[in-house]
Amino acid sequence: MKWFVEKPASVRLSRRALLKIFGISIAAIAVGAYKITDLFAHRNKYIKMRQKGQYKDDERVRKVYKLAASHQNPMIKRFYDEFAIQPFGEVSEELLHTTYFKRTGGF
Amino acid sequence: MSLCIKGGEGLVEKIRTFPPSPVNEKLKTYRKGELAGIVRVSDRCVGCDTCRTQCPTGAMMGEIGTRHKIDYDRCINCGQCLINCPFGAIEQMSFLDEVMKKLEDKNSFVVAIVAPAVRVALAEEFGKPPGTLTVSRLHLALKKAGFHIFENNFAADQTIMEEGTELIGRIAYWELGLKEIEFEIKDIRPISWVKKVKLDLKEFENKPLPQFTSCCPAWVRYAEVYYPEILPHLSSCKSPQQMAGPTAKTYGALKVWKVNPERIYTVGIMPCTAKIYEASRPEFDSAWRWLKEKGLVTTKFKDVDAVLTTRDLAELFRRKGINPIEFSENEKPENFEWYSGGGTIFGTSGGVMEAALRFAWSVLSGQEPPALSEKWNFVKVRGYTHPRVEAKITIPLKSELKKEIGLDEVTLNVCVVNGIGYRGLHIKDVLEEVLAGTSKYHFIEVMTCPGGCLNGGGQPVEPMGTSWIDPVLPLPL
Repeated sequence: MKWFVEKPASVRLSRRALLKIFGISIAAIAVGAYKITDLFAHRNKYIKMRQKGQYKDDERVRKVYKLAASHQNPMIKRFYDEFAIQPFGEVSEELLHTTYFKRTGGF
Repeated sequence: MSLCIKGGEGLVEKIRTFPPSPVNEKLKTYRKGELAGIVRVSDRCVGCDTCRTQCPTGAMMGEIGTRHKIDYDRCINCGQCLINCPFGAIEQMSFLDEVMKKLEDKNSFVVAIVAPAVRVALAEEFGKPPGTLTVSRLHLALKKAGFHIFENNFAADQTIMEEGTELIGRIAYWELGLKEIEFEIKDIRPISWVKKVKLDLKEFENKPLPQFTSCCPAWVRYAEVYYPEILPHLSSCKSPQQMAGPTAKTYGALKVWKVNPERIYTVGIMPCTAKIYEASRPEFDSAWRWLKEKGLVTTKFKDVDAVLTTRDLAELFRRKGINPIEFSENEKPENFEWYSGGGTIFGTSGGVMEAALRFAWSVLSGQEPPALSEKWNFVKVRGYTHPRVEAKITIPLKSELKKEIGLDEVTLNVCVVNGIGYRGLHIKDVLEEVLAGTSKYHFIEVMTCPGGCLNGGGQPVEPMGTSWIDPVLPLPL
């Protein structure tokens, strides 16, 4: 009588090969997952680059024109001497200050 | 599609625009004449839900897989949904056609009000990496297109003069209990310049501490809609754009350019969609009111006639065949092109705070170190990519003030809110504390967009991803 004998799995796939395939797939998934985290880590890279540009401009103005703070701006001096007289003066109150408005949306 | 890891190579996404038009809805939180629906969702929306997690107010409605919709009553027009949309499905209202027509009109004197954050991002539209500086080449390109220049950085310096003085006033009234205060704003270079300021502190009775900045129009609208009780804490100073408009039409027209104020057409060039809404607010016609009182003009006009975003400006240059990168970067500024370091850092989170501290520190301590001195840097308040920054700044008083006030030094507690965050995540407890009267701060800066104006809703859209500042998870799970 001929019995049907199922071939052991090891004939189709040896233990070593199985480990190899599993190992490689795990490595591939891990590297892929790691690469995906880059997407989030660098998602605000362009913000940092633009911020750097902004502080570079600050440094440039201070180096070339020696202007660090607002009251050193020569045109600001002219504006207050010729026109607005002083901060919180009459002209300022009319042209540079405002009031706010309560908006009720019922939220 | 913008889900791409690489970035910063100047490959920006194209955003669709539509001409200004009223919304066909009855709105509760807008007054007559104000523009609503600055950003709208088009039918290209696939329902990926990215925008909803970026919205500071919960105005974006919809579920995954369905077309989203904006509740205009809740919307503060910041445009974060637009710049974070991976499919370019959100559109922006644009005044570009109107401005192009005005540039052709020989009778108009078109003034460009250029915001600080435009100069670090415009180059991205012309193939350069983010952060590439365009200052005098931007001015030259604008002049070639037919504009006259009014640096919004100059207006930022004006804002600091006013807002810094206001901060000193509020502290003098509420912390030191003074009835009036006199101080000098002084500079020694290149020649000695002194401005005596005398403040009657009675009007500060209605201006309590802490003082909030009011430069960000989306934040102002957020406060007006969601926290109206906080409004007395907001600085009464207009934003730089709204200071620039009336200054150009009064002082600029009468004393600098010597043209008829009615001919001046002011165009804000902003990194921001909320600025389009801000310019349409009905109270912002102060130049017209001031000039009418003096009998100089008759027809009514707005302080700022139109607003273009950074993207709109790039499109204007492209239509005119101008490439701003090709111009010289070494021109000396003149008239309203002058600005200080304090003015230019307004574009980044923590910048308004640092500029105000530079001013207040110099005025109160009487010190004037050389421009490159480290003493001008208040690195502690720089927002970078932290959601919230707080700092303690001690300012020694100069001898005259010591006598007047009776103290050796004053200590300021300051806070910088860098992006309002998902449904007010970064700002809620700051506001609750102020309303409960337990806030320890004197001065609080608020920027609606993460990183500041340079990441505003009107900036070139970088394909390198979305602008989350909160770490760990991209989506609330």
